[in-house]
Amino acid sequence: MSQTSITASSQAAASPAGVQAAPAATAKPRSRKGLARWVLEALASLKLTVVLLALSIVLVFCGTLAQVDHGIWVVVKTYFRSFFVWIPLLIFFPRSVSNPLPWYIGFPFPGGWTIGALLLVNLFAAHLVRFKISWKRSGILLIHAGLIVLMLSELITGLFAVEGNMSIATGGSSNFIERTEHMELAVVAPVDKQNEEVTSVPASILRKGGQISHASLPFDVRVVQYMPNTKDLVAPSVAGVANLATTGTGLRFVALEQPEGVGVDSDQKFDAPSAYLELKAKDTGESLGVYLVSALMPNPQTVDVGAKKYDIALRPHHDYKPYSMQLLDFTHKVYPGTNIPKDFRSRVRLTDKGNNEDREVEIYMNAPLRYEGETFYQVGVVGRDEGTVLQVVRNPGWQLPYIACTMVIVGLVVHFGINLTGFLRRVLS
Amino acid sequence: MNGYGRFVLPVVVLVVAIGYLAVSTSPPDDPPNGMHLHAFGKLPIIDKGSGRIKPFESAARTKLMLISARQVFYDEQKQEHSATEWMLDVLTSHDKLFKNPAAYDHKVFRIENDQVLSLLDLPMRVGSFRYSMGEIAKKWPEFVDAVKRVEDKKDKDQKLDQFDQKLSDLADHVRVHMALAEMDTPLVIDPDDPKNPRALGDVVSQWFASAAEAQKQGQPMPTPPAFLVLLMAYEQGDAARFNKALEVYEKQLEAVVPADAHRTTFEVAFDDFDPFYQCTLLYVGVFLLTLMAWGSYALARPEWARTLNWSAFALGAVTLVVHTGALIARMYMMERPFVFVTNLYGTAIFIGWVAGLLGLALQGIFRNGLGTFVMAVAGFITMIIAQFLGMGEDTMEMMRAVLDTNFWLATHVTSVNIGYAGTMVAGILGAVYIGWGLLTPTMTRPCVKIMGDALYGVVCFATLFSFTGTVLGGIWADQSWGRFWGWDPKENGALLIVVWNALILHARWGGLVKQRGMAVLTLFGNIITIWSWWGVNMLGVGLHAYANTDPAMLVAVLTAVGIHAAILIAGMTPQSMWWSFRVADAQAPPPAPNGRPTLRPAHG
Repeated sequence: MSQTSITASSQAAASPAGVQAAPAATAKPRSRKGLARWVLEALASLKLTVVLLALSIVLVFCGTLAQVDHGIWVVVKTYFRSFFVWIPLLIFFPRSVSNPLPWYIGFPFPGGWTIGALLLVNLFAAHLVRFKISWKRSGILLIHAGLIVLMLSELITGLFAVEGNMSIATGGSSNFIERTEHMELAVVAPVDKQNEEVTSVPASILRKGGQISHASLPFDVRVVQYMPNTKDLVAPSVAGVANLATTGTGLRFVALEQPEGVGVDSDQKFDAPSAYLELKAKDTGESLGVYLVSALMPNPQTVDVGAKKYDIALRPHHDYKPYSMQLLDFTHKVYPGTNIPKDFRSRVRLTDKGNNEDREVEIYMNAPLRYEGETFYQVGVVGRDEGTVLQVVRNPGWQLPYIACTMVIVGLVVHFGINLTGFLRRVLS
Repeated sequence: MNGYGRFVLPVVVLVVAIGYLAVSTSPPDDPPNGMHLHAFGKLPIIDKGSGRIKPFESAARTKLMLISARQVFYDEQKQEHSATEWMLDVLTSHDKLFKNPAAYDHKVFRIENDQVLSLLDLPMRVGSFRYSMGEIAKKWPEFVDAVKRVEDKKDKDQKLDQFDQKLSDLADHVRVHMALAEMDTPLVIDPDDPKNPRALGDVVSQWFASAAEAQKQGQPMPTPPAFLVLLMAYEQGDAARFNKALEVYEKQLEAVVPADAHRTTFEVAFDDFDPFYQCTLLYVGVFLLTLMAWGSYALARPEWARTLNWSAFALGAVTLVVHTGALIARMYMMERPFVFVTNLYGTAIFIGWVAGLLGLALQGIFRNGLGTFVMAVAGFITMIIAQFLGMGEDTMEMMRAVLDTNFWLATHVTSVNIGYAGTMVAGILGAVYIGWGLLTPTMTRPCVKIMGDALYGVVCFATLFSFTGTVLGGIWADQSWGRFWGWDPKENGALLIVVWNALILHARWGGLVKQRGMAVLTLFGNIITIWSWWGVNMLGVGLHAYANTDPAMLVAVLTAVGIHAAILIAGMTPQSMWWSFRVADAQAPPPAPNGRPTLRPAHG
């Protein structure tokens, strides 16, 4: 698709209508230097720009409509952070009507990475071919340089940004961030009152199936069934499927599978996996039973191995930090006579022995805490104001949009300012 | 009309407009001997569910508007009464504490649906369509059963038919009445404890309890709360006592919450003047003067056109002053300096204002009626939209926690809406270009050039502000949840406008389009704006979703899109079909008179 648009626009650029294309170059495309120049001209053409902008409009529009059916994160992945996307026609019709169109009736379309990359190529080529450095052009240069930085920042965010959560009950403290995009099987052995020893198996290994043995695991794990996304835990009597579990919470609940990337909540970022795991004693290979573990279970289950007790859970990866946060106080104010929230505010004590940090911070709406490369935002509450939920984001490119926007805005003001003063001078004289 | 003669009409227009506005600002006064109800309406209260300190009158008007689709009511003798009076009657209809039966007989509930009327066994009152609580109560069990059936349907997410919908609306209106009759709302301010406003019902029943206790103990009665005294005096029709209690309470409030008391007094004056209604009328005036100016061109009377254009400009300037004043007044009433927009209603009145400003600037530059036309059309349409949105709702609601930041409201929201306004003005110019060239013989080459310049300038303006607004939104998002860009539907809508404006500019720079092409593209820009402003909200997803898909609104949006699409298609017809270009081809283009091109017809 993008390939054809390049050819189409390059032909157009060669036509006399292409005002800014140099006629000398289009006349002689045969010589070697001429051909390179001709290709560059084609890549630099404003027609290509217009075509790419039009494609991006279609992509953004479809990517917005698609959010009616899918969580925002699925759409971002398939439409905007992809090279190609299959756009089903059904997104253009109201969903209330029982939809007669299957997903495969649709059309392929260049994804966000493709269009973005082509726009960058087009922009660089245009500056190589056409633009000279002059005061009159300074605005345009600044705008485009800013846009390049902006696109790079989206690339860096797409590739490197990680998001997570930190929940702290009032009075309690926490030293880890839950990385919801990486699930793991955690096996927790208490060491003493304060500490515990955590051994974790990433969900990606469970997904491969087979048997997992490791020196630090107190038992071997055989994957009976792994479900990448489950929607609910229901009683076995109403589930309609055989219960694979032979012990633990799995005796009372069966996990119902659903396709990956389907969420109830439009903002649900990650799938909720579940797994049936058979645990085996290390020495004898004797089965300890088949357990159901699930991201949908709020509490861990206890496994007895000989005299020792272990907690097992399928949960978000815990990213332990050298610092900890204690929630001193959580306030949730509402407007009088309403339930409309006026303010959420967490007063936390940040302790980092390594850095000699020990201070109180207030985190509230629109006022995050930035510490050690992570940024902590007030996003939610635990239960009925029993604690706070902080969103934690690590994004190495977080400053880039600020720089980019300043560049573009200044560039726009300069460029349109030059145009406007010239125009007004003409009109008023 | 030489010399100073051309200033006569503009000055007359100016004087008439200012005189009319001066008359409209003079407030209604309370009769000296009767109850001071208008003064009572200025008392600060809090309406349950809105959280804002507002005047009693404003709460009463909003509620009555919701129930009755107007802000006053009429008694059996066709006498007009204020919303304050209605709300006082309902508050004193509480059957345990008061015994004022008047509220049951006020015909305020607007019911048009014949099925609802036949359910309630009521005659169709063509013309008025208004019924009293007493009339509805005659078929109370049937009504309650029917409402319950609709509620069940709602719980099961079943589709409601029109009867269900209307019945459900009426049930909501009856609930508003009942909440008042039970004194669940408003919350009133106790001068001894101004920080904690309490529901009127609680205040009153607490006093009755303590009074009964005191009587049992043989002690003297405690002083009744001020609001209760007012209600009792009102119920008994005791004007002297009412006015005296009012004066005392006003003084107490003035002492403890002076800022709130001043604000509510101001708000009542603001509502009495109703500046946005006045603006609607004035925009119509600007429109008519502009049409007359254009008519003068057609009659080959450019000197008439000039004085009419100046008159339109003068009236436009007065309108803009009123519009600006109203926006500043809202900032004061909401205690949010520099915040123009806090909700959908705010976007409508603000976009109209920016379009007016742009229109006036265009008129200053080109002086040919183009600017005043844009101003009048954009102003009128946005005022109507605002009227529709503000119906039966508090237009100054409180902001949820994450939105409660004056800085971002003043920067991000303002520039995004300036961008919307710029795009909309460009679209109106595009429509003018198409209509003018296609349907009249008068668009000469210089006019084409002027239109092209105006379109280009406005698109640049829209690009600057929509881009700035969109990225400021990104920075806000980064500040509040660490995501510069989340691909949320509303963000995408704003992005579409930015990219579309960039596309128009690049198409022009690349020579792909000229004036006509730009006109067509700007019309499509309007369709994108409509989608971003309204359509996105109807998807019902994302952070900015208002989850409000009123079928009437859907029809309105589709109609607006349809009109734009029709003009757009008309704009794409071959230019040989355009009247102006057929005329122009037949004649040589005339030189622009004295260097300033005007709308003068080609044969003029």
